Amino acid sequence: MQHLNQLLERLIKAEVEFVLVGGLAAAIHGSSLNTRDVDVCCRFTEGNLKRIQAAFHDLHPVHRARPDIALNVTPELCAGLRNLYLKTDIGIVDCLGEVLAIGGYDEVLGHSIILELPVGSLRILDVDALIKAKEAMGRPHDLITVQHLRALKTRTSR
Amino acid sequence: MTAAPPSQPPSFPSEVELRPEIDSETGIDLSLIEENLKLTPWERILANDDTINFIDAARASLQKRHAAS
Repeated sequence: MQHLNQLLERLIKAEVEFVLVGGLAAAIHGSSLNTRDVDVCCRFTEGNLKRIQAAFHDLHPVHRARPDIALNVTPELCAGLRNLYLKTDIGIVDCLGEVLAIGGYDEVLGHSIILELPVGSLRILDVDALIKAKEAMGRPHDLITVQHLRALKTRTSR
Repeated sequence: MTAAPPSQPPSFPSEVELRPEIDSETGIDLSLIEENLKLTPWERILANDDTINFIDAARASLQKRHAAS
């Protein structure tokens, strides 16, 4: 079973520095497209990655491409990685060090808005930055998302 | 006093009037976006999970059916 809501709740409660980007951000903005993973842009410091590990410690987090390797945040891992692609018992989380066309964590943070959810405050990439990032990625499904975001932007600006 | 005109039954709307609003350029069903916009952000997250879990359950059932036949 997928529980992306619980993954987000855990990241929030563990005080991970992150901004939600990608398909779930688009869905939250109002897109009718569904998604199967949580994409976050996060600060790639050892402390922050350790908070991510702690948030998912009981969910058997592993590297998506190598499910035989459990997540184990070490200084070596932090130094060598710009992205972290994780699989847990309740869903997939991709942790990105930067977002195409926007920049690194600080730039992404500058283009984020805060939503107050029942589980805490969530930072999410704003619609304009999401459109820019999805356009830059340019894959067919990204461009469909762009069309959705543009359509909902028109609806909400009425 | 003049008699009130007999009330006309409301005419049933045409198929075109009943069709959800579709963006002519992209084909996106704008009514689905409208429905999503009525939800809170948290409700949108839960709705996404519900949909994906339903699809997975339905797919598992379909595979079971294929395996049995």
